[in-house]
Amino acid sequence: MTAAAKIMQQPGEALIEIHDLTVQFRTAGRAINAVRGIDLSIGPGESVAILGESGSGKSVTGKAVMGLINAPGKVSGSVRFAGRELVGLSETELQDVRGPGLAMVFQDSLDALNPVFSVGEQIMEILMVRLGWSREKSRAEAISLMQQVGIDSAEKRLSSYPHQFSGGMRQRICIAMAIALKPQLLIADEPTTALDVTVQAGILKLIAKLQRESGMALLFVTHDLAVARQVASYLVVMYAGRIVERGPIDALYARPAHPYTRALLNSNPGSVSHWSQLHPISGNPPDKTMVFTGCAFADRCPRAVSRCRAEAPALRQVAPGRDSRCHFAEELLDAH
Amino acid sequence: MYLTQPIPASPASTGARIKAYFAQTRLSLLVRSPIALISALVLIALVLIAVIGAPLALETANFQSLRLRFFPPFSLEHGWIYVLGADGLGRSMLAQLIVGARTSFIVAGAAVGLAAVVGTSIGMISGFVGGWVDAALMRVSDIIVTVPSLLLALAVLFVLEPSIFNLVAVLAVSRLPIYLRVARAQTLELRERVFVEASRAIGATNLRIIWRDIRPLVLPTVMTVSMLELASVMLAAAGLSFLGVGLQRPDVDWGTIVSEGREYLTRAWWATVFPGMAIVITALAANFLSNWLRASGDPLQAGALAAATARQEDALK
Repeated sequence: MTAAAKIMQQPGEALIEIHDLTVQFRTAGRAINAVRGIDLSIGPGESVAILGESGSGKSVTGKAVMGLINAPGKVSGSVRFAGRELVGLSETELQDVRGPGLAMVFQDSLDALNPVFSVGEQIMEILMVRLGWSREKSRAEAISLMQQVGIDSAEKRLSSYPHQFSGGMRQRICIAMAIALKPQLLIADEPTTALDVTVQAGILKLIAKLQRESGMALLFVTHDLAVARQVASYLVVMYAGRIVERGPIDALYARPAHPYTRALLNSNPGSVSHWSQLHPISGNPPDKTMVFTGCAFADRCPRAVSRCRAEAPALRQVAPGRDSRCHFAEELLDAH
Repeated sequence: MYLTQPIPASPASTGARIKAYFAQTRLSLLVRSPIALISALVLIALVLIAVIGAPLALETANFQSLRLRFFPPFSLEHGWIYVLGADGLGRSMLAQLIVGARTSFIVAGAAVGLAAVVGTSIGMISGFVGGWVDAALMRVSDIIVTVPSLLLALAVLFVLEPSIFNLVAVLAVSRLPIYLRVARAQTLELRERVFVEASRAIGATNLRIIWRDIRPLVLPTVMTVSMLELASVMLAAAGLSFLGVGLQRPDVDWGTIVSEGREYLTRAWWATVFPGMAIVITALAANFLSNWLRASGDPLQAGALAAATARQEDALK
């Protein structure tokens, strides 16, 4: 944890503190390093987005926080949630935290609901089992939850089955289920990836609204820069299982302090007026079995020099509230 | 969607209200799919015959008469009870079939039910838990498969008394692996589904996930398998009776009648064909009904089923 992030996020008041989180999958003698040591803390009511391309470890980070990494995955490091260490907790102990503490919305909304029960039944079950509520009380709350997530004639749709809803509506139901127990932190794992753009906008507005109104913290995992900006105020950029840059989202957009962030901004179709101005990042993300001696981004970095391949940069403060994992972060900042 | 249509707010009459309610139930779908309806009626009739008829026919079924030896069927000369003829000992086929129905349903039903419930439970747990628990349970299942079920049954029933209870237990154990494997295979696939992960993420216990997320989706397959099993278990029970370790007279089931009649197949076909047909009809009806139950139990398919039925009805109009 660097000093800057602590200043930014007010020490001692963090809702969740992730320290040196590592996730490794060992299969057939190979070790796949999905997450290679992440430090991050989120305060109550904060909204943080994790941005990264496929395979950067962003989704695995979200799942690791929830304790949803299955064998052969191995999680090490520390995740302290509301003063309680989550790494190493048994499945039974985690069940208390999941729901009222942490909740999650998944990417694949089409498969995230049980196909053989009506959606009302599924929302009500959570309330009846976890809060011990009566059927009638749960029913009323389920209707209110469905209204909160913007489902018209909620009372009528209570008895509908998942296949009778569109993808966007199903994701809204998933969100209703996730917030049913009033979680302190909602982890959203690319919740709009499977949806088309118009529906996506509605879901993002909904998540932002719910986060604002309920005061829950939000960890939003995405590969889409524009999406991150709509829901989060703090951005964490991941590359090859590590955080390469983080800071307040607007500052990061205006003056990226890492070549990777900069390259991402330049390859975003939304930021240019003509396709010839687009600059895709050449090459592919590094092999996850690799162990780096230098900077993981060096092979694709336009600014890479010999020092980058020899010496691994540390995540360090480069400006107030800004951290970057680049030897030349200050130069990049000044260049803008 | 048909199944979830709300009840009209202000129906004209009580009759209309009842009709509207009826339209929402699965029963209304059953009434409109002829094959499933006939199958259900056949099964209900058979069960009624077994329950009510068996005690009444018991005495007649064991009444032997040399005069009526190989009495051919379809003749009312000796009263309606001999309408399906008589066997080598002059016993009424019809009476035996009625008595046999009860035993067949009890033995096959209990054995299939026991095997399905135990096998499916173990299979789901095995698949869900995985690891060494899964490996150990599957090896036990392999052992059961490797031992010829007839040999196992012979050995067990030879040591224990041949009784209905022991027969059911042996048949259930030897049929266990089918359910175990079917349930395990489906669980392995289901546990990777997102809604299972979502249940975990909201704090559901493993038991709850198995019960609410996995069981309802494994059940239709298991049900279809058990209906198929019903006929083979009836015949397996007959095989054991034939070898002298199953049911003993005066207890009789359809399988026993088939295997006894086999000896006179060239002289008196009816002693084999009628009990055989009883088994076939039961199995067919059970299969058709299970097929329909599977479709109507799945919300997705039930909608399609209702739509298809409605289309057919429109076409007929």
